[in-house]
Amino acid sequence: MINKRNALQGLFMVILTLITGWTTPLKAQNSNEPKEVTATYLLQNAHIIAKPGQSSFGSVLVRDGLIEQVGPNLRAPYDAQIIDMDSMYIYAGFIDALSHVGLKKKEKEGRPDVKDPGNPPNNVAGITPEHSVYDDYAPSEGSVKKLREQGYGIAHIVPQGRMLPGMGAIFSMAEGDPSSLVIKKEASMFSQLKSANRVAPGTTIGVLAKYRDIYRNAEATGKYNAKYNMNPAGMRRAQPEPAIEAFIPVVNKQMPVYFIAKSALDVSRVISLQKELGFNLVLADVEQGWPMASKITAGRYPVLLSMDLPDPIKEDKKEKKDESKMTEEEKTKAAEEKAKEEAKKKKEEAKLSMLEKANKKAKMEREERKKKSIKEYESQAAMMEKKGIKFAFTGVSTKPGDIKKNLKRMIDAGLSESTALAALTTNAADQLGISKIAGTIEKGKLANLVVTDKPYFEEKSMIRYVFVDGQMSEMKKKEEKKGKLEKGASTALAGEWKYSIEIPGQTQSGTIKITPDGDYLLVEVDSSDEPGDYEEGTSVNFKDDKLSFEMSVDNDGFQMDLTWDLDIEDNTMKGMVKAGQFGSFPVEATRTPE
Amino acid sequence: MKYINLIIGLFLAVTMSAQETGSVLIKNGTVITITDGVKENTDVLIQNGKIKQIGENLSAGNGITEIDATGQYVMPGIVDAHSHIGISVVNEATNPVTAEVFTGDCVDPYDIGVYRALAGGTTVSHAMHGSANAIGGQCETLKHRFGVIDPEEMKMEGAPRTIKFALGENPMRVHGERNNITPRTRMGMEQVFRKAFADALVYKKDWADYNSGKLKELPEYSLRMETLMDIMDGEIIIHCHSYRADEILMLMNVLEDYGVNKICFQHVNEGFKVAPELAAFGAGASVFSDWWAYKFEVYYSTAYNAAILTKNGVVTSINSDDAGLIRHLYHEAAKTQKYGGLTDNEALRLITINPAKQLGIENRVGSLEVGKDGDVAIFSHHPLSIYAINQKTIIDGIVRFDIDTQPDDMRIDINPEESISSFMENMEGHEDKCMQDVYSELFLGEKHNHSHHNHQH
Repeated sequence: MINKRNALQGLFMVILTLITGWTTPLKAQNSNEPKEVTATYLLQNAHIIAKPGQSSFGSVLVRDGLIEQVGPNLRAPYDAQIIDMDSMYIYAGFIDALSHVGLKKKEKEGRPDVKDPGNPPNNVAGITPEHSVYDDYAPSEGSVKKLREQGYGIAHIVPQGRMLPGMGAIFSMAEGDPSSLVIKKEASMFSQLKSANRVAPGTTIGVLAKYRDIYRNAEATGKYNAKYNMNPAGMRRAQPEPAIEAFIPVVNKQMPVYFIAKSALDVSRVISLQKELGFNLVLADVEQGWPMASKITAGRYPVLLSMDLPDPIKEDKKEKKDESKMTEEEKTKAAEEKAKEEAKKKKEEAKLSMLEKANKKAKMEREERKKKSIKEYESQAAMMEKKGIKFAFTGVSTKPGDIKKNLKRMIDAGLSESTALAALTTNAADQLGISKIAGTIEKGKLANLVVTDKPYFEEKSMIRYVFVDGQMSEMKKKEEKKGKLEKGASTALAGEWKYSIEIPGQTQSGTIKITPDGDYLLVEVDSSDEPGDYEEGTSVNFKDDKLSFEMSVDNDGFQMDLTWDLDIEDNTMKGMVKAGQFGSFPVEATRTPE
Repeated sequence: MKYINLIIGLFLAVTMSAQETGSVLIKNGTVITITDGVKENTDVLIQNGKIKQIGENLSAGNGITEIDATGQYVMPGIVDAHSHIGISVVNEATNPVTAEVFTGDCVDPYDIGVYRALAGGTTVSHAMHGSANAIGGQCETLKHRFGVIDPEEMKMEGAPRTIKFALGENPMRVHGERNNITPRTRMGMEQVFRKAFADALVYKKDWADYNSGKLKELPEYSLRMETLMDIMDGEIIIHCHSYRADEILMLMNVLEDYGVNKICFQHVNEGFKVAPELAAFGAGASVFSDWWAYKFEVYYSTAYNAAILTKNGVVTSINSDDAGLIRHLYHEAAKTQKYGGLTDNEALRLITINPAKQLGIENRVGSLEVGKDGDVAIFSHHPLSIYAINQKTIIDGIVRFDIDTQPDDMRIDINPEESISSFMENMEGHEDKCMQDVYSELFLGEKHNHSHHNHQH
């Protein structure tokens, strides 16, 4: 349940270091692209889901970053690019209610060099409420593009760190300069129960005690300053303490505190702290909030639910043929096999000792409870919906690629689609105080739109266009993305392949995962630096034992395209990887036996 | 499956008001009251969480469950004055003085250790901060209401505030050896206490001066200093980890200088050497029955400690400091009959009314008296017998442990990503986990779930 970074960035770094004399940073790719011809678009013949539960058929006219008109029969202005939606579905752009998108990866900290661990400097202790994420946001970071491709137009971004990393800001996910993208600066105070590394506060109880200290000092300083401002005669000027000063708006309830509270216990702890101190609390990234539902309701706390879910238990993938489609012969054979298997099982069981039997039973019961537990996590959103607790979603600890998949799991567990959509759009906008400009498809609102080929929550739906501030991004069609599968390709390619790329002086390795998906091939690649963080290949092509695909990797905003060309022979692949303008490097891969 | 009902039940409990209570009539047991003798064939009626009546042939009102305790022993729930179960953090080991932190901030009502303690008849435990710091954190007194979801409901409402102090090797090692700051020696230990109290007095004066207008500059607020002030004002009972007699005397001298007298020494293995001094100071002593030699300062010890302290008039208790020992404190108490010849009542006081006194909750628990909390343990044999097996544990009139009806797996919070292996597989690699926990608890402070082998004395 960790938000990982881009796969293959290690590879990219290796290649980058090969380029001698490379001292000036690469320009972000987007600024090299030609300017759009027009800023006016007419999206015709579409199902428009203007807001959750409200659908109509018609067109949306976008001009200069805003929605100019929505209606059944709009005429195209002379300067409009007309896009025929061909009965596709248009939703309001999604809003991430809490995110770290567009922030550079924090370097791994070593043990801090602090003489007295009980009194570390504020930055080592993780106490920098005066810091603003506005200074950190880098729209060229690859994570922004990834989130945008999932349909997001706006994110409330908070800084990374420990207990008090600083203030959050609301940004448009469009391309451009941060100053032109900011919707609300200093929108929130971000808090976590996250202790410092081997210095005070070193534990959750240390964090909570420190929080009280900061709050009380800000309270006293605020009062002192107010008194001074009324009549400074006979008073000394307060000595400026940036951390305390920055916290005063929290004490005065002018700035909400977005507090990470994943587990039930953390939710309870944060609520107890709020009750004691009285700040405006937003419970954020809640993964296990249902046990505290009554407390949440009683305190009327706004809630941001996590879109992260525990990994599902892998079901047995043995293909089971539909019995009704079997011939009589097949049926008898299947029954025979089943009986054989059961007999074998019984025989094995008879051999077990009492202890082994007891262990087996206990294990099975534990697995049963684990399954139920996973189900509870999946049902959280549905349960909150039933209890009438309004919530928005946050992707702060969810990989963008998991968002849609996990939403589907929540819907399967009982969450209504309209509430799910509200949590992505209107509820998030309300929570962030931006519902006048975002959250729905209405005249005058920001032209943040998501266009899907099927209704978004359908399993096979694909996002085809995303508009952010009227900037259009077009996604490739599924057919373009994945290689059409030939007969027999499944056995020829499916599986996991360990690859290694020979770069002078270095070897880069990782896994290529190839999964047949219906008529198409899904190719995913990770690197040994970030195992399991797969990057999806595009333009997959498989013909005459030759596999080729493309992918784009990025590191701190530097984009690079990789083109893979591989010859396949049984369980080995050999070929070249072309890495942008840096050249081609030999690659070899062998299939991991099942 | 039984636990499904349990979960639903638990869920209902959460939606109800805090501190749910129950009513129950325990029939025909041998009632060990602790403060009013042993009464045979006697009933105990608990109504709405409180003991309503103790006597023969009581009849239950409408809808009150009856428990037949014929041939069984009914005693007050056992109280443990030193434990670390039911909390997710033990040590904020970053500073020699951390009076500002509070274990009550991190109560974990899902800790299965709490249920296991209940299975041993223990109904109240003192969830203490660890011994890494000279002045550690404030502690929480827990009632083992296992099954509640809300951590606040596990807290014993109205119990006095307590704080952990620690003498000797632990704070010296953590701060002196590791970080080269005071205290590095036992001399340094004394100065840490004196400086803390002295600083708090300066803090108090600063705020008084500021409020009266004498001081023009706004003083800094400090929860640490506020807490030290509260100790000096007698609002907080000190529970001090200690072994050596010289240090015990040292701390009593320091406290006397600052007008503090509410203290219970913990472990206090050399207490037998200074028993009259402890009694004269009014200090309590909470000891192990027969546990020592786990580090250099704990060699000079005796299993007669509890008996000697008791005979000298010191309010003495036997504690667990351990998620395993807390399940059989009645055995620990029984050892004082072999080593020191305490009477049944003297021995049982060590795990009931005496620890209750040390925690300042003797008006609520620690004996079976009309008006006290309905906290009861029902044993198959006399609790000091080696054959005694706890049958039921009742808190506030609610049966929280029942040996007959409850399933094996009583966990409340299931990790959806836990890796499940069989029991035998779990046993392997156990030692590594222990070391990990000990390390992290001593030096980092976070406590992990596998706490039953950690000895942070």
